[in-house]
Amino acid sequence: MTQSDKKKLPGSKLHRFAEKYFEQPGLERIALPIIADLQQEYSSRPHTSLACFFILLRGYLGFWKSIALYSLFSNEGNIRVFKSTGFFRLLGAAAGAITALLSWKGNQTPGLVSLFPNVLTALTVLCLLFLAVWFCVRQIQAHRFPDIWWVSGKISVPIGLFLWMVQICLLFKLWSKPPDMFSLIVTFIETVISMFAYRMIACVLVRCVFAVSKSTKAI
Amino acid sequence: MNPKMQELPRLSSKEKVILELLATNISMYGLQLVAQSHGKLKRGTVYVTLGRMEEKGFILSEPEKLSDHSGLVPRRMYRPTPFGLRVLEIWMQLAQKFAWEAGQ
Repeated sequence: MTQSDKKKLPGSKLHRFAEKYFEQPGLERIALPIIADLQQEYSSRPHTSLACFFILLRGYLGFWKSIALYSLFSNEGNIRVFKSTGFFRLLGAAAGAITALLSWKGNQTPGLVSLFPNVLTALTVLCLLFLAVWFCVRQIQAHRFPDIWWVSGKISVPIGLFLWMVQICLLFKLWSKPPDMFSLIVTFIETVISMFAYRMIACVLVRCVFAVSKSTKAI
Repeated sequence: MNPKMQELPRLSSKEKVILELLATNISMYGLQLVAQSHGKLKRGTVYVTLGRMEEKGFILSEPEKLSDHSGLVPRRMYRPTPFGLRVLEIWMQLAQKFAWEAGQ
């Protein structure tokens, strides 16, 4: 394999990320085997662009799904995946929940089972909001109400747009034919309305984060 | 004795499939296990199960030895421990006994 081929191997950034942030057991047992599989598959298959795309997509989704599952359900929780558990466990859980939502059969099952994806979605949104709020507050150290309102707006718009994209992906996945323009517009309006709700929730979370930071001086 | 060992070992259906495959093939890597399980194992969750089994002491793993300097990350080869094989053996005996009793 030539030097240029080495550079083209996928997963090198993921490898560096894992080495930097993962505990040794999580790195050895989960991250490296998945990256190795990804690289082996990539280097052994014919390099048509579509095949490469699917290998990479499957590899990267599998990586985050495994990290999320392992960080949540590792045996008795005595082996940690991430060096900084709080933040990355939450991030891993959110990433895992989104990929699970996109592939879970519960979405197609009527009755009580179909409620679980919605509950998961709500939890994912809350997790992402809390993370975003935490980082924004750390960055700008907003104290006045207009600042807090601005921060929450800055957070809610990308999250709203992201969720709209997820919703469209779900529509494409659940329906046998592509969704019509009317459905897309309706989901977009729903998303814009829900952005205001996210903004309100984010606002409350910003205040909570300030309250916690004042009492613990952690931030 | 390891406190974990004092508990009765539990074997999930996926762990049983993995142990059965490893018992017949000696040493395998993750994607091989997925390919030979005929859909019983998924590639997104196989390493989580393997990690848990390693914690329980059912299997051991080591990185494969790459002969060339290809720049590839070495895959992890898994093999069963004597304890894991013993658990599988007892589990199979138990399953056979229950099957026999159910047939009575």
